Amino acid sequence: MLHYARPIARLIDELNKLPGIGPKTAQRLAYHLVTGPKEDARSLAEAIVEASERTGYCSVCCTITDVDPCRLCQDSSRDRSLLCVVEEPKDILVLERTREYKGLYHVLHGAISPMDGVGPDDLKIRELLARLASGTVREVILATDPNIEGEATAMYLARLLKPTGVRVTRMAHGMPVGSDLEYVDEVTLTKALEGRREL
Amino acid sequence: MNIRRLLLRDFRNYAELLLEPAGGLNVLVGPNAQGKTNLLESVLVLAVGRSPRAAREDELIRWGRQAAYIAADISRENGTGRLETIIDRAAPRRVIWNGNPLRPGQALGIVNAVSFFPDDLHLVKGAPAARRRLLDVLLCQADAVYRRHLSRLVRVLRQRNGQLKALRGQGGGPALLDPWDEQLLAEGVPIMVRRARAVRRLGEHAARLHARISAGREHLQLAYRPFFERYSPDGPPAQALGEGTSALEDPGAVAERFRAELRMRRHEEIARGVSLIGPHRDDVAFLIGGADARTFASQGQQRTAVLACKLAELAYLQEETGEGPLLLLDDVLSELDEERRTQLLEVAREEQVQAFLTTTRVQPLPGSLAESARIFRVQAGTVSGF
Repeated sequence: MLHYARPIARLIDELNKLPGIGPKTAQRLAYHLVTGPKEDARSLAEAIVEASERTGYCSVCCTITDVDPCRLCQDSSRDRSLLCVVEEPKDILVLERTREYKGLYHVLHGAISPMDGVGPDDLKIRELLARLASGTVREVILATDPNIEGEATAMYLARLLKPTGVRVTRMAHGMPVGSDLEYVDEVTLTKALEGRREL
Repeated sequence: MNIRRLLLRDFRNYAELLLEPAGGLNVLVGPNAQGKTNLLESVLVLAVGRSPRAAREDELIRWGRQAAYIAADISRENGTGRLETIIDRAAPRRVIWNGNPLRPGQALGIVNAVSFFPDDLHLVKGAPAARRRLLDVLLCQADAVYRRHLSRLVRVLRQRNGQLKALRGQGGGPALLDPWDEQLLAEGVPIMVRRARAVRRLGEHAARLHARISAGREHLQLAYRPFFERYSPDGPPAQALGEGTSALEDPGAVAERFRAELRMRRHEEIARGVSLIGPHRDDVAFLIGGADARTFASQGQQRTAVLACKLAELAYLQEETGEGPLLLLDDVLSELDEERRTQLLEVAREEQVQAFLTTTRVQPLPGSLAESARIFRVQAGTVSGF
């Protein structure tokens, strides 16, 4: 058994808790950090502490923000009748890159997954219903991931929101633009066929 | 399609092996426990990604080694290629096709195989799971859409079972179950429709081949039994074929029955905390002379039925993919009488497939076969030509 110096063992332990970091990567990162310039390590540590302490949930859309409400929710140029529901804060960045969507967002922080013990109460659904109560929102776009859990979450929300009278839409499944037909997987292709449009 | 060269490293009892099989019949001869079946198993793992006899993948790795490696140079209608699989104790299985890594699911269908192991002789009277597995292995090789739906179905069932268990424990609204019912339908219906079609087509081949093997004395039919027919309260339906068959290939009709079943058995499912309905409860019936072979078939009748079914798989894959699959026969010659043995080998020759056959002693082969067959002696993890 290899013996680490105690502070290194602790660092490896902490790194190992991060998603996607296994014991080997944790070890490599730990040695990289302690053998590198001291100011790099200090700067990283400060960044982690600052990010963790100076951010929190946006009281409106539940994304992670350092000002409350977040900048997007404060932006008066956004269309307040449109609400796009996503699983994670990073999904907002992806949709914003399109520069096409002008509405607001709502972050669920996950998807329904009974086998992991995640139910609707563990997601920011109550907050979503509270937002809709004011009547400003006309359409909710469900942009959860197109995997099994994301679809289940979208179906659950669609049924939940129906009685509120708001228009509920789901992102379309389709062909990736710029790709060749032959490289598109069969299920995507089937869905794209189902969702075909007249020209 | 056929295998030009097979390479094994640290697979089961093989430290290192290079085999250059013939395009037709390859006979692997040797005493028991020398590695004959391991060779067939390696081909099956490469082709369909699973072993019929290993409960865990690391059983496939040679004792004391970190990883097993299987590679084959394949020649197919549309060119040649090299398929490789690495099974590591510490990592998920890796598959490489012509140097490019694939997800294991994508590798299905590159090399197709039909296997006949002694356990398959229980196919007719054994548990339904084995008959479903036969359909799944067959359809996964022939149909990429089926593959996708099946892997999603497995996940949907896990989630749905999780939800049912939670509902049983803590209660809660049916609103929580609805999304999983919808997904079960979305993945389940295409699977069932494809199974119904495959059983019909497989059944046509099986009936033809069975008539030939039994010299027309008996008539074999295969009937798809979807979960809602197996579990209908008034017993199995009287007519298994005819109009019922086409309805089972109609997605709309299947979805309707499926939905009705979901409604009807919801309370029972919540009370039991597990999915009682869905394609994971499907079955296939073997009918001989119109009667369910499960209840009456003799050993001999079962064997003939299984043999016909295996050869039908061969014909089905040939028809679906335009290419003959590999045929892997593990010690089945000794289980068959001479007449059936000859029929089996004759069909394999007519279909011009590459076949691998294990046996403890060289059987007298029909003359036409003996000429083209290549015989290998297998002893303690080494293979030598005769």
